[in-house]
Amino acid sequence: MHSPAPLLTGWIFDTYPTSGGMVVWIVDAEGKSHRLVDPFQPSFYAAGPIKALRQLAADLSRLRLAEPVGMTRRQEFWTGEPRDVLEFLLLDPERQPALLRHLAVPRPGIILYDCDLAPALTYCHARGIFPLARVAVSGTMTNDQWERRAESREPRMEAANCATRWRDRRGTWIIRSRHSS
Amino acid sequence: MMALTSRGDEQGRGAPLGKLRSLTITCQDDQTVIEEGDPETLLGELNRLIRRFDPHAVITDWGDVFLVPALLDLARRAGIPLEFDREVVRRRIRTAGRSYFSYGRVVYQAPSYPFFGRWHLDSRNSFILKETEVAGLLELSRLSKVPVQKMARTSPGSAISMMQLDRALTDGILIPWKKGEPERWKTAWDLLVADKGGLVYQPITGLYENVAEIDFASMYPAMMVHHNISPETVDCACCPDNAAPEIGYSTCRRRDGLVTRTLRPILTRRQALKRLRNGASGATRARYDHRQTALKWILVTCFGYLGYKNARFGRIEAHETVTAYAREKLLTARALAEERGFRVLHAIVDSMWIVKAGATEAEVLDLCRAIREAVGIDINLEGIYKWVSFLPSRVDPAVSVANRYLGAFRSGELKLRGIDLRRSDTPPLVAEAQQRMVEVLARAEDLAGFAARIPEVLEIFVEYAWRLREGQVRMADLTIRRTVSKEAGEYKGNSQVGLASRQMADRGVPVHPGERVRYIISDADAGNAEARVRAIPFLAPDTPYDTGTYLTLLCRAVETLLWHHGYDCRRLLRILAERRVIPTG
Repeated sequence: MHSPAPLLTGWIFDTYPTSGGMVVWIVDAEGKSHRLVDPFQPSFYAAGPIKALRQLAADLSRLRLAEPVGMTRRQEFWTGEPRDVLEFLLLDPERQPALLRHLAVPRPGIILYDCDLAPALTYCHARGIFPLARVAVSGTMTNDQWERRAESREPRMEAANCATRWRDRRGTWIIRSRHSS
Repeated sequence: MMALTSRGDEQGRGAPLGKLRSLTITCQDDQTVIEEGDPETLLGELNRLIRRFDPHAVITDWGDVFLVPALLDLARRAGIPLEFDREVVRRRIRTAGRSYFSYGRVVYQAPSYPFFGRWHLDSRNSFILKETEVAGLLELSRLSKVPVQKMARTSPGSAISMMQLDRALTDGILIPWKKGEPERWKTAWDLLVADKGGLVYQPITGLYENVAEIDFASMYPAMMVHHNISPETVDCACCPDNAAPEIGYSTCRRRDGLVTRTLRPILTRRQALKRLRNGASGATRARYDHRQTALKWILVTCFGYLGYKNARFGRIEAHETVTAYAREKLLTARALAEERGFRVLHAIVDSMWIVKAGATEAEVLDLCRAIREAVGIDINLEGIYKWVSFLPSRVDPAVSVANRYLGAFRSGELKLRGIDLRRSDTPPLVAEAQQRMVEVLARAEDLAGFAARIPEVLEIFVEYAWRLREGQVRMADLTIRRTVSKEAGEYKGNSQVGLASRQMADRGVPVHPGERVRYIISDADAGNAEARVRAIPFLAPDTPYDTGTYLTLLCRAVETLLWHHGYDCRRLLRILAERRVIPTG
């Protein structure tokens, strides 16, 4: 494995959901803007009886809204106690409104977490970036998988988790440059 | 950066019936004005300029309310795509926003028109941009991880909510979709004890000199951090001995609360930005100031959100705990001040106005140190007034009110609260007159100097009265702006705002609750109610204004300043009669 050469260095200008991921606009040092698409599937969680969780997972899979990942342990807000929850991946951040419409139908015993968080927030959190963060995007081919890395060059800020890496799950990273001539 | 402004009616919506008259495009010192003409020319030129400059940000006046939907509609009808976006998107054109009730006011939120790959910032639809300019907007966007265009259109309260969510994500805390945490059961007595809010000592009305104002620094957020007040840490079972005064709710010593963890770095960052500001000058100083002001706004709103039932991390008991501690701290501060011989003239939540004959600034600073040591929260000297005037209620002069005062600090800075020129419904002419009079009084070093400047103030008063009497004023300077609280059809009586709102709606330009209507008073006592006011877009060259009513407004502005010297409206009208501005009797 070799150190990847940076493809692009610049500042995060805007992020918003698109089909299958997030559009990321980056403005480079020359002021040119670049449109990237980063495949991204936000996580959300559900707690409740196993039978009800299975039914929820089956319904969401059938509707191609979300897929279960597996049981995990997270911290409950009010009590501070650990809680076992089923993690889901929202398959397409653009379809979050459809997911919420479906989840709005009450299901006895099921408690949902994180499902309505803005995709821009969960994306920034997952990638350790924030609006206007300076990043370097690089790519290399390893084991038939694309690996991406973006390292923030911002001074340390409490609200932003710096020094991060970007990895996509499906190896479908798309880089398109616009207005670069 | 490109700026787009349109010229239309004075409501900022094009001519009376929503027609775009001209468009001014400014970019890199290059200004292009496209006058009313065929849509192809306007759209073609706009697209050409966008391609030429390729701006990252487009700043508009009324872009969300009017300009962008009007241009998009024009583009759709002409079949010429507009190149605002850097990628091809399909949009639905919406012109209706939403009205909602917040802190006792009806607020109108315009529909949102963000661009794709470019920023659209509407300076008239962004509280944060208005208060803190671009530097403050970017500061909040970076800290809250809310994209810049969205941040521009949301409130500081939303920013602090997003920071709390981000903190929860970072700490692996599950964020419930539906909160399901109702207010706990309280008896009437519990409510009476707990639900008191901040402590206020009504001012002792009068005109004073050498008064010191001392303020707790970011009192509520500082206390939330100091006492670890957060929804999940209040009323915990494990620390019953750590109870808030009066109400007895405990706060946890074992768990650091989510709100506490979110606020702590913001307080630190704001202090750092203030230090940087104090060491800088010019544009750099202004940028640091805007950034710290942006943080101030989120610190101001974080307390309200703590008690807001719909806030993700809101809990009324946490809110009540904050106010209980705040009341105790203000009481302690008052006791310490009085022990040292100061007289407390006024106190409101986190500020105190104190006076003592012959007291020096060092004595006040020493008092601040003592209070800080006693309560654990920073308290600073805001300044010492050369003179300060605490005013009574307008409705009942025997009653004092907390937020109606004006004063001049020794530094030369003015502090004005609740007086005419601070009110948005004061006609610009009256506000300008009062501003000039205040500036005259601000030169006074003490109460004797204040009294000595009254003749000069009265000369300004007479000058403006003459201008009104002689018709030497522009209609724009007589405009009254008022926020509409309901739809035009819901106004049953003939209040001025209702009449103006109906005039707008009848001519096809409805003003929504939360929006402002602008009008002049043409004849306040006209038998025909329609003739009493005239909405600004429908002014005609021969529209009259009601001299008597505007003179009364001017008198009230002077009365506010000279109340403690016995100048009420009646006496001021007598002066105008003596000077032959108005007829005698």
